[in-house]
Amino acid sequence: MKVQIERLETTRVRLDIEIPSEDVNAALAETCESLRTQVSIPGFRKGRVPIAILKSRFPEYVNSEAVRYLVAPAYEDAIYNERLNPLTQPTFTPPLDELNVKENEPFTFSATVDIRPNISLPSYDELVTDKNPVNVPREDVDAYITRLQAQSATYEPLDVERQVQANDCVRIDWECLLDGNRIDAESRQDVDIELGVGAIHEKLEQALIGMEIGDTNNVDIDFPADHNVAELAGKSAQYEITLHAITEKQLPALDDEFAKDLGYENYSQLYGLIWNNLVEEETSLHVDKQKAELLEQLIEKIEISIPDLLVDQYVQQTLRNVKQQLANEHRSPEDAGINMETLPDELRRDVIQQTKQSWIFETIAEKEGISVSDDELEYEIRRAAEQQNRDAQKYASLLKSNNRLEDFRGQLQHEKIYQFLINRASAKQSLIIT
Amino acid sequence: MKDVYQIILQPLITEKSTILRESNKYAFVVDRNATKPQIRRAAEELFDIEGDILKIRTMRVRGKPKGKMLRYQRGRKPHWKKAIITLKEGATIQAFDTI
Repeated sequence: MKVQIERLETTRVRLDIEIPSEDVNAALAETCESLRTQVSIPGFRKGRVPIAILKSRFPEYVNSEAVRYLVAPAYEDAIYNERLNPLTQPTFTPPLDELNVKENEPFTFSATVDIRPNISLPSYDELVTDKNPVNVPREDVDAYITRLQAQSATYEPLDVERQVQANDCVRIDWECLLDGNRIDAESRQDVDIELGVGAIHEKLEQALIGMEIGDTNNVDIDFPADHNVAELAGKSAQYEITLHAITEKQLPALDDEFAKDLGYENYSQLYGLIWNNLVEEETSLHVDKQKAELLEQLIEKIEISIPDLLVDQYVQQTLRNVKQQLANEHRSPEDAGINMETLPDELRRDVIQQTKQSWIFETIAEKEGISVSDDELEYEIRRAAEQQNRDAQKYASLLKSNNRLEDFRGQLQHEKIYQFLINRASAKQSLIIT
Repeated sequence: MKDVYQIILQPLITEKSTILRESNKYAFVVDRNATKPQIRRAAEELFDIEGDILKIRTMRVRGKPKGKMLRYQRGRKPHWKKAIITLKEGATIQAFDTI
């Protein structure tokens, strides 16, 4: 098979394909052989009709079948051998129904497809990103531990006879009554509340101030229509509060005992692990930011024209899917919160962005030879399975059965590319002068 | 004399006749009363093969009975005559080959 490639535009190529006569004859023979078993011609038993007679009786059928038999595999082969990634279905010239297969003659046709344009990558050090190591100051760790401490605070009743003041801690009951009926889910008994920190509704807090131990007070609270408890939304409920004690908040001491209560060996281990976690969190945020920055710069620096046909096809396809989906669910676009007028433009923007990203990444992967081997894939699957507490084997076969394995590999490849870019990019000028 | 088209009626294309072609024999359906000399002349004129005919064999084929008994009589397809023309080596009947 001879293939000649001609670039028409940056994103279009024409493939001139010539199939040698032996293959043509083989295709014709194959077609006739399959036709032979289907037709019955008077004078012949089924399947015994000579090929010459088939050819003269059904010339069009034999021709079109042979074309089908020849063109598709030849096209696929050509695409594969020339390492092209067609984006659209090919257009054939002449059209398939006008092609003629002749015995003992080579068969030629042309296919035109949209392909990914050649992308010239900028030099990686033109990309700039913040490469400072993440820094978690001691204060952040301390603040985190203070929060932990507050969570395990205890409240001791004070032996005093006085009215409740702002910023006191109190132990109270409250009952929530709606039209005289008690709402269990909203009622509490013996709860410790710290006033002045917004732990309860401000009206309740106001009512508490000035109360003495053993007092009971009633408060009416109007709930807004969008209140998160559906029963109460938009209604007015009556709260009956009883004060049991004025208490003192006692924070546990930050020592090994405190650490053991939380399941750590000692305080320094607790401190270290929290610090580690914070650093990890911060790092992953930082890496996400780096990725976003790099991607934005790449897209900005690289001029790519995307074939309109491709974008249109995608947009139309998605719109159809959305409509179909809505029709299946018997919902109107308004119900689903979709604005049908702006949707095409949004989709268009998205697809352009996504296409650019995937093309740039493909180009980088090809140029730098970044790929994910089966071993790496297996390793990462095992890791992901562990994180989700699943059996690695089952997880792998689940991925395989959903055809997600290649997606997974793609994700890993993207990860690797990002890592590569981050390594090669220049560091942002640091503003901190040390 | 009968017209040539009324003597040689149609080519006989069947599995058997296709096998016969390998030994340069061509089968036709001919008029039931046609004689070998008549067939020879008709073939020579029709296919432009003067002097190429080696021999002609003819046979009368009885039509097959068809349908059911109808008032003690059974219908049948008409009887007909088959002619097999053997040509000299190298000679062909062009019209036959393009069918």
